Parts: sequence; structure tokens; C-alpha cells
Amino acid sequence: MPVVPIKDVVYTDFQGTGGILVDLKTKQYYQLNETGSLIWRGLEKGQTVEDIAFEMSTIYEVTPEHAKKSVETLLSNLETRKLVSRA
Amino acid sequence: MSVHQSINNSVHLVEIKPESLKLWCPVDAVIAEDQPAIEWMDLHRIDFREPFFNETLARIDSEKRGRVLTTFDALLQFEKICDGLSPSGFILHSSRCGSTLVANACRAVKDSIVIAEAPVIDKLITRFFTDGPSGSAKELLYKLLLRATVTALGQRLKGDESHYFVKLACTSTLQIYRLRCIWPNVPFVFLYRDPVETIVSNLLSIPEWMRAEVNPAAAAAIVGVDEEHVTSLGSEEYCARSLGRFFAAVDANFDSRMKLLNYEQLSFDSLIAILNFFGIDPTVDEADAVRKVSRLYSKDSTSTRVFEDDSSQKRSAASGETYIAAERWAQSSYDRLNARVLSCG
Repeated sequence: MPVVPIKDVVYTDFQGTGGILVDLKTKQYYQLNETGSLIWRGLEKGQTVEDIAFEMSTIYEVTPEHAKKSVETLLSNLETRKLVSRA
Repeated sequence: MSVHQSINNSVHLVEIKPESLKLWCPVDAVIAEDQPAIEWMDLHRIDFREPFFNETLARIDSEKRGRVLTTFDALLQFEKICDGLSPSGFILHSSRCGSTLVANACRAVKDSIVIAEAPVIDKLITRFFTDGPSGSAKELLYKLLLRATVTALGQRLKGDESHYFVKLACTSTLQIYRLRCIWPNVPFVFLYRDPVETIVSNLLSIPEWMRAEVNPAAAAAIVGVDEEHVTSLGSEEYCARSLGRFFAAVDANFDSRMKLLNYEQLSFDSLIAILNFFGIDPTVDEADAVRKVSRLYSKDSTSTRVFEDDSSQKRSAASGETYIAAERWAQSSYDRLNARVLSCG
């Protein structure tokens, strides 16, 4: 099931090195590190978990399995905070 | 002016669509409803022709333009839809050293925007001193808010602007490392002056940044002493320590994207050189306008008062305490900057 950012969440990137998510409803701010930023930008582009994991594995030289696990962990975290949803 | 007065008798934060803020600019960072807020003002068709940002706001005060207060996130949302100009150059300085003249020279370039010491920018930068430790989430947030603020102020309010210059308050010089991280490809110029002359000038009319009691935490960070100690410093020592730290911060972050200009070297030619450094090749008319501003007292918004070099007058007026403080806290870092100027030609 594709994962999509919630409409009321704004992401602002800082030169690809990380960024800040703002939940406009709760006014809560969240920091994303460099890989979190890569994952979020992937979600914004409509990429699947597999697409994002593949991109991560090529950039950071980790196995696709390791990358997919990292992506799923962050997505689960974001879902708990109601920043993304399974469409 | 209190928040109550400035926002049409309302201190309420509003939720507003970012599109509704087009041609509105962030003008101040305040506290409203017990939380940090941004004050926005409708500035369509406005040119910033006065030497300082707040003087422009004072000129248009009677127009009763719209103002609203939003939470900080409005800045981040607005940045995404704002097609403001990117800065052509930043002007940093050590106070009372000719930076306003440089800003006026930038203003002489046709279709330029010059934002000079906008409180909203310098207040956000001040947050780095007190609330944004290196590597923290808050540091990142303030960097993003600062970038969004500068972008919003670079809107083409008249429609045809093509160059954008930002002059910061002198204390913001201490955050040069972070500023360069946010705008790694934008040239910066740093204006500075003999510390004795600068201290004398600041003592004649003490600016807010030298009033430690206004924000002791920020003052302590600026001067480099602890908060309990900062309010007991004499004005000479406070100023001299600050100057020494401004000079040292620039020296430590100096590279090819930075140009230094000593007050003693200010001239028509050096102003043109700064414009060139900012990527501007002035037309004949623009160069004439620069020549004109170079002969005037820069902080006179009527453009009638002629500039007179007062260096020797200031040195004669300096007290023994001023010479001692300048020598102890600022002279060596001042000399290092001068050596850099000589070595760079």
C-alpha cells in the first residue's frame, strides 16, 4: 500500500542535508536527518518504499534489504505521529 | 510600538493561506499569545529607499497598510510559493564604519532591492546566540526560518526589481559561519573601521546592541563573557570586546567569496569594486548615482548633508579608557584583517 504525506504537513529541506517537518494542525516541528530527508522527498515524488530503498542503497552503499528496513522504520515512526498515511 | 498598537488593536494570530501573503513581507519577530510570531505587512509597490528598513516602514505608517500576525510556520509555507529574488550580496559590518554608504551605493543600482537592518532578520539571527546550539534541531529551524524570511523580503514588490542586497546588523557578523552555510554561493562584504574611532562614535550615541540590559543573554554571547558579568562592563570595554569578536569571526571565515573594506579605503572606486564583487556592472547613469551618494552623509535620508571624514576628530575625542580597551580587545584582530586586505590586494 503506498505511503503518502499528510496534506497538512509541510517539509522544508536544508540543502539535502536534513530538514524540518511541520504539522500545521498541531504546530509540532520534527527534524529529519539526511536519510530521513531523502525518504520524505521520495514520498513527495510518489515513490514506493522499494524505489526509495533502492535510491538509498545506491547513495549510501548499503544493501537494499538494509535500506528497506531503514525506510520502513522511519515510515512507521511517521505514521505513529500521523505525518503520513497508507493510501 | 507595542504589538497591541501595531496590529490594529488585535494580538491574535491568524491562520492564513500562503497565497494571501503575496506582496506582504515579514517585518518583525514578536511574541503573541505567548508564542513566537511573525508580523507581516502589506508592502506592495514599496521601494526601500531610506537608509534603514524601519525608516521605510515609518514613511508609510500613515497609509495604514494591512498587518497580520502568524506563527513561524507561515514563513516556511510562504517560501514554497514565493518567487522572490535570491540575494546578490550581503553587507556585514562592525558598526559606524561606512556600511550604510555601501547600502546606498547598492540602492543606486537601477531596479535593486536593499533591505538594511530589518529587525525581523536580525532578531532571528539573535536566536542563534541564545536558543540554537550547534547541531540542534532549533539551529536547523532558525536557519530555515532565516532563509525563508530573506526570500520573502526579496519579493518584487514593484514588479521589475532584478538585484537584491541585504545589510545586516553589526552583531549578526558573529553568525557569519551559519550565514555562509545558508547562502554558500552569495558574496559577502565586510566593512570595518579603526576600533578607537568606532568606539568613540558608538559612545556618542549608544546603539541598542550595546545596551546589555535589553537582552543580557544575547549581549553575553556577543561580548564573550558570562551573563552575570556582561551588565557590569563599561561601554568602552563592551564595544571593544564586541569589535574584536566581529573582526575575529570574519578573519576565521574569510575566503574568496568575501571582500573586506576598511573605512579608510571608502571611495567611489571602492564602491564600484564592491558592486562588481556582487556581480553588478553599473551603467554610466548608475555609476553617476554612486558617485553622488559617495559624497553625501549616508544616514541622511534627505540626501542633502555632505560627507566629512571625521577620523582625526574622533581620535582626538577618544578617552584614555577607549585607547586602552581598543588596544586590549580589538587591535590585534583589526590588524589581522588589514593584513588580509594587503595580501589580497
